[in-house]
Formats: sequence, structure tokens, C-alpha cells
Amino acid sequence: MRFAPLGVAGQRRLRQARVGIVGLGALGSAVAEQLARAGVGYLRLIDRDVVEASNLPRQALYTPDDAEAGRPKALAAAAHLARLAPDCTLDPVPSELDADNAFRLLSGLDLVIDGLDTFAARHLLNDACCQLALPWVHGAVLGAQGQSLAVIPGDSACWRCLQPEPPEPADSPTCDSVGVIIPAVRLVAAWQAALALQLLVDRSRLRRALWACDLWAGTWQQLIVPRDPGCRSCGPAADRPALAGAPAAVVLCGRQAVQLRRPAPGELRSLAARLGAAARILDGVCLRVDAEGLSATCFPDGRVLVQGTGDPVQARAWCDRWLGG
Amino acid sequence: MPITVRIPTVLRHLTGGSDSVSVQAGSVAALIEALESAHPGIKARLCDESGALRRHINVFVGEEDIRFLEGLQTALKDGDTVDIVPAIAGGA
Repeated sequence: MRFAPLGVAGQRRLRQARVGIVGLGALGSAVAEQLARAGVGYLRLIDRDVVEASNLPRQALYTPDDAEAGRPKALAAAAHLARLAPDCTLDPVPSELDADNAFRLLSGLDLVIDGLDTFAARHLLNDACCQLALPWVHGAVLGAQGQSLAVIPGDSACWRCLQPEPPEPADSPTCDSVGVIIPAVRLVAAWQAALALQLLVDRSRLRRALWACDLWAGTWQQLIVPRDPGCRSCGPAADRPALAGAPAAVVLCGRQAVQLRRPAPGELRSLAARLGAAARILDGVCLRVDAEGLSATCFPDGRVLVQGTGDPVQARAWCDRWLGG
Repeated sequence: MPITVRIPTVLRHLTGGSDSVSVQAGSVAALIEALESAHPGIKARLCDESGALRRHINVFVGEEDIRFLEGLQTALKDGDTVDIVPAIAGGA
């Protein structure tokens, strides 16, 4: 409040602001914490994944208990943020943003934060935000390097102006193959949070450039990204191709985990009762099943995250056996 | 005065770990050839079989993206700094 560029009026605006965070890994959870503490009044926390022990070193919002229980990140994040910022309204959504639900999950928001870990999802977010004229803040980190870009559809360059098509997966190393250092995560999260505050309160000083940093080399640049008149997301002839369909099975990046789409699980209690000791209900909305060396989390939106295999065929067969065909 | 090229993390195994190298070149295309002579294998990481820049790679001269300048034919002058910026997937 005492920081003059925000002031009392700015703080009030933050209190009224509704921000979505898509992806609650290291970046998304760090930005969520900063925005909650800054006084943002409403956060919608969207994530498809569950907390694992391997997340804990860099995803500081979560605890060993979350990993032990395999809690969905959206629910775990909401529970922890509720203690840090009791005045913030938290709306956890344990779902994957896809072409079918994007408009619903992003509706009524003033701003979206990118905490995603795949290009396909980021292109989808960009297409959806351009369609909704919804500003969003890109952030990504790898090794000691990070990037961030504020996107104001119709005003500044969008993600697709910079990156017309998603790269081939083989072309894009991930934190699993190259690693990441926590200071780079925190730096990018801080940059995203600052851009978010400016977008919500005072756009006059907002930087419309791709910010790229390398903490190990000690360098950073603000690179100019012009709007692309032929852009398929924000140009005059935009067709927003990422909104056209959703994949059925996804092997999660660098992990022994496969995500399948199945009919929604229906009444969890009866399914849990049928499975007996192999199953338990998480936070009242998800079902966790441990059997035959694999474990699965059934989300209310029909997704099943199978952990312990990278083979979609094995994962599907396991689901048919344990959850019914 | 040569041109300074900033090398992203994912390509540094090709430059002996250096995050920045110096080359002499009059255009971005020539710069990529000069990088390839000094650090074999790097061109294939930047360009596809047809010689076009790979779609996840953005190259900036000064602070400007060459896709909005003259592409690979963008001219370079002594003292320029070239940034090779691959898109990053990670939310970590």
C-alpha cells in the first residue's frame, strides 16, 4: 500500500482482481503465493497433476504429506494458500485446460498466469486468451535460463507471434533432461508476478518485450517482439488452431506417468467401496487407487493419471481391470 | 570487431560450455556457418534440413527478432550482439 505506484487505489484494485493460474508446478505455485500475499482477492488454481516427492525440492508450496497422499496440486495449493492469505478467495480446479473446457475455466478472469510445462498447452492457452481478449503472463524456465512475456491480446505481441507453431517434442529439452535451478524459478516467478501487478493496476509502465535471463551467465535482455500480422492467434485472419481438439492419452513429460481420458468416475464412494483397501478418496473429489505396483488418481473431469508406467497401453489395460471398462 | 553470440544452455555442450562466443560474419546465415565451422553440430540444432531456422528457435540481432527483419539474410555489423533464444517449455 505504501509503494506509491500501487497506493491505496491500486491495493483496492488488487482486492477486486480475479486471476487464474494455469499449472501449479514450481513457477505457478510461486506466482500464486506472491499474488495471494500481495492482496489479490481471487485466485483460480488450475492444475492436472498430483504432488509427488520429486516435486518438493523446487515446488515450495507443497509438503511431504501432500506427496505421501498424492494430493492433486490444485487442492493442495488452495489449502496452503488459505493459511497464508485468509482473505483471498481460492477456487481450486483439478483439471487439465483443454479445447473443450478452456472458455469455461478461464471465464470471469481479469488475468491468467502461465505455469504450464508444455508448448501444446501454452498454444492452447494463448488461442483461448486471444479469443477472450484476456491478458496473460507467460513464464518458463530451464536450467539457469528463464523467459517471460506479458500478452495483451489486440495490443501487444502474443505467444504465437513469437512462436508460430509448437516445436517438435524432440526439439525442446525439458527440466527433466537439462535440470533447473531454484533461483531461476524464483526470478522468473517474481518477474511474472510484477508484470501481473502492473497489468492489474497500471499498464503505463508495462514492458511489452520478451524478457530473457541467464542467471549463470549473469545476463538478461528485453527483446522486441512485434505483432505478426499473419498470426493465427491474434492476427486479422486468426483461426486459433489449438482450440480445435484434445488428445486422448498423454505421456507426461519425463515421468513414468500417463494421463488417460475416461468417462467421469461418477459416485466415488461406491467405486471406493468396491475397490476396498486399494482405494481412498482425496479431498472428497478425487479417488486414488494403488494396485499391481501402479497407482492412479481419478479426477472429477474424467481424467485418470496413472503413475508407475510410461506405456499408454499398459495404463489403459490397468484402468480397465481396476476401474471398469 | 567481431560479433558476439549468446549461446543458450541447451547448446553449450557444443561450445565447450561457453555461454558466449565471438565470430566474424556479415549476415545471420554466414554467422550460422561460422558457428558450425568452430562448433560442429550446432547448425543442425538451429536449422532444419532445408536450411530454415527451426521453429522453436528465435534469433535476435540487437534486440530485434530476425523473423521481422530480413530473416537469415539479416545483415550484421561489427560489434553486434546476437541472441539465440529457444522457446522453453518448462513450468518446472
